[in-house]
Amino acid sequence: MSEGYLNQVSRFLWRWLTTTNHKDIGLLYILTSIYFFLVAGVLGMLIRTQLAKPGSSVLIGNEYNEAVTMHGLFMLLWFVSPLAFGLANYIVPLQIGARDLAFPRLNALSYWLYLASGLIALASFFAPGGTASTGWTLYAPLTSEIYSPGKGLDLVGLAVILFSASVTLGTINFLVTIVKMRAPGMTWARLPMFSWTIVFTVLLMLWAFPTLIAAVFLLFLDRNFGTRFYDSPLGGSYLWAHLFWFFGHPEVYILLFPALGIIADVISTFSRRQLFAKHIIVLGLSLGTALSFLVWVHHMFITGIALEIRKIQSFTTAIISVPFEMTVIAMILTLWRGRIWYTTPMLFALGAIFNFIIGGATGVALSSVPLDIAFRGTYWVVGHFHYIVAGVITFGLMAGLYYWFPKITGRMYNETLGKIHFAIAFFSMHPLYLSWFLLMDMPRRIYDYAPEWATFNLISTIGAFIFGASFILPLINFTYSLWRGPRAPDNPWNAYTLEWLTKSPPPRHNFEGEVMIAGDGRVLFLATNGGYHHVHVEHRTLTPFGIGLGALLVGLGLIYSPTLFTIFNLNVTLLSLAGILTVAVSLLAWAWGDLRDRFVIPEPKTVEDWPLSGVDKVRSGVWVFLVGDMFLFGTLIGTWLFVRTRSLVWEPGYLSHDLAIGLVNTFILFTATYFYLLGYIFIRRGSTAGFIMNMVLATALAIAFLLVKVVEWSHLVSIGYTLNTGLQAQLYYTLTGVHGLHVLFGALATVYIVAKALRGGYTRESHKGVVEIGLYWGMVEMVWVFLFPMFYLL
Amino acid sequence: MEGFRASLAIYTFTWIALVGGAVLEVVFILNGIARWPELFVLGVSGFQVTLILLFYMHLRDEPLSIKAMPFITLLLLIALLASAITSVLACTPYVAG
Repeated sequence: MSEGYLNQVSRFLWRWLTTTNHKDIGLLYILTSIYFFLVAGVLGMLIRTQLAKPGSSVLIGNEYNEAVTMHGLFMLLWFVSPLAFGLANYIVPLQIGARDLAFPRLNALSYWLYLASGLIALASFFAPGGTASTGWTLYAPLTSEIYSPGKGLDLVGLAVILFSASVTLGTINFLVTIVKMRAPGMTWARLPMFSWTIVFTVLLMLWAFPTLIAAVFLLFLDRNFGTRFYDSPLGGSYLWAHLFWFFGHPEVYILLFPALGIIADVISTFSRRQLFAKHIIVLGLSLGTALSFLVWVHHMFITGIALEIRKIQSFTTAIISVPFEMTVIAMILTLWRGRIWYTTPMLFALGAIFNFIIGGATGVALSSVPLDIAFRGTYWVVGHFHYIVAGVITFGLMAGLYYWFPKITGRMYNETLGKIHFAIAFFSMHPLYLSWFLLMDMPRRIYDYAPEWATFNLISTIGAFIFGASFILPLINFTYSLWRGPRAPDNPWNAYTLEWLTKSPPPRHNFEGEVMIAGDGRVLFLATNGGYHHVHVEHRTLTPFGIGLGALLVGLGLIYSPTLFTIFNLNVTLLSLAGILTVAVSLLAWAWGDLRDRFVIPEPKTVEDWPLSGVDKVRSGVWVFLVGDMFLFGTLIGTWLFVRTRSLVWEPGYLSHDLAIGLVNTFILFTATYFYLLGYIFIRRGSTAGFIMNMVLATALAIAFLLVKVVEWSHLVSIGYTLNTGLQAQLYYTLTGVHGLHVLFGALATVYIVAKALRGGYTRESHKGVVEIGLYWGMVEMVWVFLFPMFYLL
Repeated sequence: MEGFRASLAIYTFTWIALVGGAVLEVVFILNGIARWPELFVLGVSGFQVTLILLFYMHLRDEPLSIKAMPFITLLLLIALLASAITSVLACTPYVAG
């Protein structure tokens, strides 16, 4: 192997492993999500092959269940949202006139965690006993050790947690970017629909994903530490259903919104008209966002849930269709009298609207309690959501890929091949999915069936193979066009939005000059004495990749390395330890870089940042993070409330915790925060010595809190009160444990502050980060305010 | 933002109120003074959280959009918990979801 070749490879790896540029990360997201689309697609084909005729034996029994489960999870978690995130990464900063996302390193970390999570999910296929086979909803008690004994489900659970963490970081980034970094004149009214829908998507993610993290974390404890949150006879399966669907239904809109944004932008561009009643669409989507959290119980109508709740959620489910009907009507009215240009993205957008009408109407039927009960677990439901996920969302995302391909690559794709792709995909998806409505009496998730369902199943399978094969065309089209396609002009579609006013592909700094939108809507590029891009700071760092790699090793270590020791049912392996070490070293490197101010990015001086004017982007980001954290703890505390309500007297094994210890720790924690705040007012006064002294006291008290907790736990374990003693014990250890971890992170963050202060990093004028970590301490304290009475008084 | 003395006073009074709240909870619960212990504890915790948000986390100085964040979060949590708890009270346990 020549040295030149090795140099090329190492340069290539360095370029992609260390990038933090939003366009690079966007491309990584897009390519990775397409890979997982192929994985999920192959699983879908296998399922359809099995169902082509009764009595097949391609995938039987648990193999079939595994394929169904992972097809759903890969499509929903590792394909749809990441592809939307990929496009958003690339396009949103361009659409709003920003240089990058607000937190580029965090953006890179989001991607590497996403990739690690996907690979862990993929590795679960090779776990002894196979992968998860419970269906994508991971219903309890199917997830218990009895029904899912292998380690595959644990890997999937870990993958879901990592994916959710990646999403949460992305949420912070996109929300702060769109709110805080819009170019002057890019008012909310002028924000393109795609960027609008990303705002709504990340708001949904902010409130939905922490619930999923908490729910899957409890599942992980159930399977590896012997707790019984979900197989408890005290409503364990209900608890899972509530937590999962509180995430699960907003997830539908998380998947849908970006596609709707793309469809709206594409329709506007290729109709040569401004979007009709854009403000109505925005209003509709905001209503949809709010209502999406009030409809999850329609997934639980057959659980014997209280009639009053069923009535309420039946009503809200019917109502939630209204905002989407408004959106569809506005899109159709945009077409009215428009000069329509039937390009490939336009065809996909029109196809998506058509499919939305079918998918939407069949979904509204499910808001009715009697109909929902009748259709529950049948192919009607499967048909409904496939029309939405494949017919609307995937079509919308395909429209986006074709639409922005010239911008991203600087090349035009082959239009004829694109239209052939659309025609085959559109006309094959109806035999594939429409036949499922005609199989409305066939149960889902079965690998064999009665002969009377054979005809429609065969039609569906034929449709599936044509539909699946159609996606080879864009792969060929894009790959060929990337090398041989004609050069794309900057604005091949004569589109209105900002991304089309820069070069194709855009330069690293996105725009030549500073973007400003004049009062009449004209876009100006202001020269700033050498160009604003000279102050566009772009960093390269290996730390996000290191954290992702470490997470991957931890996951793979669950099954692939000789076991060093076992904690409860969890095997700790060399590979897992190596992973934990890699994460720790990467985090230290991250902190070390920060300590030396290597990654300081100057905030643009003039931006449209209402409604967060006056709040810098780091503080905005911390608030967004805290809201997610509140939901995480809210879910865990809610679990306590749920169990406690069900069991007014704790089960045998109940132990009243030592009040004195609880009270001492309460005092310690309150005082730690108090000293932290004293430090803050000292630095505002310019007293570094006072600042450091108070911060050291705060850290010492935080450590004292943890030590008291260790002593308390040790004593409890020594008298036989362990995680397996009962519901009360498992809630106690879980909640105080998660809170303790938060205290530990707070202590580490305060140590970082002390280290930085000792290096002269804080002055009276500049003490960035102190307020933000203080906010975190406030959150930690707020949680304890509830935990103390819950475990020591009630 | 207040000066040094004013900030010191605010933080100190908040700290006293927080610690005092915890002691009050203990005294009232142990002596059976609180007639509905769960509601009493919820009230004290709510009071303490409000103090922390307003004076430690300076929510009072933040724009309305940030003020709204914890409020919306609280509403959504109430919706989730109310439904979950009402439903579990109303049904037979262990019906598969």
